[in-house]
Amino acid sequence: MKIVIIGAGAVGYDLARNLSASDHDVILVERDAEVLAAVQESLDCRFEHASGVSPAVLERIGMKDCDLFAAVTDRDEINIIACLTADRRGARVKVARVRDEDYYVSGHIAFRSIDLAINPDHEAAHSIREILFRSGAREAYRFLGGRVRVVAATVESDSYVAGKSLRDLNRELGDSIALVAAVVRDGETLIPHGATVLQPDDTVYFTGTRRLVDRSLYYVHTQQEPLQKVMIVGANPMGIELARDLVAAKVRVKVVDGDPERCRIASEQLHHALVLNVDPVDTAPLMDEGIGEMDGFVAVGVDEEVNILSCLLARRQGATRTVCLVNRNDYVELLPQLGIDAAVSPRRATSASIARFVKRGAVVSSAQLGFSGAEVQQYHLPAGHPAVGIPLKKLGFPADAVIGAVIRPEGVETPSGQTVLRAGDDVLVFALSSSLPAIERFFSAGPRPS
Amino acid sequence: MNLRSVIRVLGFLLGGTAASLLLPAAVSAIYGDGDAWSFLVSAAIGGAVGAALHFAGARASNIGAREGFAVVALGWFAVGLLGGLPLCLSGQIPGYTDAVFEAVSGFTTTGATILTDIESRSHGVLFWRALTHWLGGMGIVVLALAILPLLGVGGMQLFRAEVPGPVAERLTPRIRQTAKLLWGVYVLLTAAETAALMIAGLSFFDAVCHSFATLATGGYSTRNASVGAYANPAVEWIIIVFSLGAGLNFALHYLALHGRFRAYVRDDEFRFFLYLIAVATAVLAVALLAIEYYPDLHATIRHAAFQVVTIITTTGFSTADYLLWPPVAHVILLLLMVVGGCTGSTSGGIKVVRLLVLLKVGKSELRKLLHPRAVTTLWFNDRAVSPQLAMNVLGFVLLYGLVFVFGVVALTLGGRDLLTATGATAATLGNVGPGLGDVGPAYNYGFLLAWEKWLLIVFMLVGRLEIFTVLVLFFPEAWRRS
Repeated sequence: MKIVIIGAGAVGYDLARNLSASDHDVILVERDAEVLAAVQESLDCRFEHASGVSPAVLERIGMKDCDLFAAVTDRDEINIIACLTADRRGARVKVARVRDEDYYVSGHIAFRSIDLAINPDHEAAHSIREILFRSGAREAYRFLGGRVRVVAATVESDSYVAGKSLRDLNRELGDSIALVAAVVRDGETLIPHGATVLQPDDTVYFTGTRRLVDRSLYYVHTQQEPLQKVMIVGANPMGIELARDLVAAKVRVKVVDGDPERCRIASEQLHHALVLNVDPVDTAPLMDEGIGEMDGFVAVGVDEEVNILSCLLARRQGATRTVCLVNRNDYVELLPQLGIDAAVSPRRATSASIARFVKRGAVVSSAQLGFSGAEVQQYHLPAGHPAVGIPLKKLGFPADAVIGAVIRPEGVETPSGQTVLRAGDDVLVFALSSSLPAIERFFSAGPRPS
Repeated sequence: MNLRSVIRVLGFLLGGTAASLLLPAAVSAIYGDGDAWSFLVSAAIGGAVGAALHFAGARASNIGAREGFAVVALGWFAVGLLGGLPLCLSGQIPGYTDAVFEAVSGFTTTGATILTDIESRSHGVLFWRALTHWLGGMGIVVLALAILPLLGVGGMQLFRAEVPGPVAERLTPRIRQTAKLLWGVYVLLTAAETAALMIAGLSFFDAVCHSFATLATGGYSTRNASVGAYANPAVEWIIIVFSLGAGLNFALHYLALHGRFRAYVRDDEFRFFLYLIAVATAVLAVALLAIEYYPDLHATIRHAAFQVVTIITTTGFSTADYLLWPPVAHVILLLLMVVGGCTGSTSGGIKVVRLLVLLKVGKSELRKLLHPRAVTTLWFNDRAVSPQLAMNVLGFVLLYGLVFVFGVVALTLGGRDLLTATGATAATLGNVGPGLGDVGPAYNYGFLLAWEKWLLIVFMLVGRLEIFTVLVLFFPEAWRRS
């Protein structure tokens, strides 16, 4: 499969790495030589030092056989024009990163030849919102347009699930607890099975419908506190979007930024939030604004170090829940030790939504599960597949992998050992990358000999 | 300033007014009151002067802001001068000062009269008084929604986006388009009120005259005791409803006619306007009930609502002499005179939206004390208001206050008592009509000295044209060639 990515920035890099790792033919186009040089070392794909909007360049790369064209530079207009140009020359699926609301009409991109428009800021803002509203949540994602939710939470020592195996939990709680698709313990990710015992400080990834996941959170984090006051550091598009979301949910919001111009822009977009021109690491004025009494504190500024610092400050003053925007993996691992509750990376949110569009063999889509390092893949079961008609526990599913959700036209089902797969089902598989080839083999198996 | 192009437009306006004088001439002829000739002579004079100016002037390809100010201010005055002519010629109003006062009061939809005995005037004159209101109202709707926003007067740009109709780049087609739409609404409402009043029992002549005066928020009645003369609750309620409508933004009416009724509810100004009316009515009703001024509750509420609505919309009809009401009523009505109705309506005063912006600025200043680092933006109708615009509004209110103070001081210097001076200034600057004290609803402006009348004529024009439009002409720069 031939994939062309325009823009080797953070999003383009992540995407190129994810896709080239799964044996796609990836071509990364970047205009800036320095940026290109920086990524060339660590990526296994073809590079073009050229402008992605140039028709001549696209002609040379060849659009006729291009299966996925992703324009993810940080300029909306470049991305849109590149997609339109690629469309004229026959590229199949076009994806553009578009941040400006003005290019959307009632939530959809206003250009018909663009198949998917992604907005990292919105995706991340949504994720943060989901985390804030759930005490104990560390990460939140939506798959398949929100039909399947994944929420990661830390197991508290006095919680219901601590010290119990998944099999016991399943027997005691039955349908009222969501499936645990992955567990992160001491920095190691594992795909749990029935005998896995949940321990305090484990991070569990609950998978299922929104209702089910929400209910399950009570079993790991008993105290669910209401969210009434939130302070957001960073009056950038993501902060503004998050503030707008929270205000709509009747939360009192204060937005903090050190830059007066950004504050002005934010205040002109936020009717019911208080915008403050304060340096986010300047303690005294933030204390005056009650940083310690916040139910939620979110830092989504450009500078990751400042984000972490201001979260620490908030934590120290007594803010209940702290969420931090970080893209660097090294930092992500540090956060729990620092007492910061959750980390959010817009890059991950973005590359996850683009990867949905990639098809290879029976795989409909593939993405990384947040910071866990586990893979999420969507498979389609055609009629006559050997797995059809057999209960899951007798299926002999590969190790270190689990079917997290079965998607049917009538709804999303959380599978148990008794679940029988049907032809036409879509399944969401959570797996360690080491077991991906085995899963691949499992699903690409031909029709069962009758 | 391109004076010749201004002169040309003035000539056009005079010509139009002269043509409209044919209507009262026809009314006079029909009723045979013997005043038709005075209207015809005035029409001839107006037509001749208009034509002369029109041809003396030059066609300008582009009328700029300076010319716009001059046309609006001088135009209204010139039309008033012509409008007073037939009143004076016919002998129905002796003295040209009084006649001009009456005509300007009509065209500015003020409704302040110098007549003691209205009922003994001829039909032609009574009709002309009502018609000046109606024509003035037409001018104001377009002025407020199409012209002043383009000139950037007193924060009127706030409503630029609210104005229906396609947005053209050039000024003229846009004004023409907008004017047609809004006049459609205006004519429709006038016809509706005329029909309603006739059903309630008024004669066709009275119904038309009162509808003209209501929709323009003028207030000239054909009766000495104004609307109170009919002692007909139905008529009073009809006038309450229609003057309320005339006090609202006509752009909202236009949207409603096109099925977008929610435009009313979503408008901040509309909601605040209704809120003011409800509170004022309640306070007046309680004050009246306390002294048992009216025999029953319905009469109390009706009279309170009528006075509140007629004053806040700056119509100025009356069903009662509110000077006999408790003092709190005087204060409230005086405040309502200053506030006035909504922008884009035919009413005068500061306008509800400016009061709203003022309150919001005050609130945000207080908030800044609690949050010294807060970066605040003013919101109106879910849109951010630029600080520039807010300053514009503050400037307007300040200037309004200064002119007001000047008026009170000038009139008291001449020996009038404080209540009369305040009432007369508020009533003319706000284009209300009846004031307080010696110019209260039961009296008139006839006894004032000539200089006082001319001062009030200027006030009516200044208030009508949103202050800036007139005052800007006192700057020498306005008259220099650009």
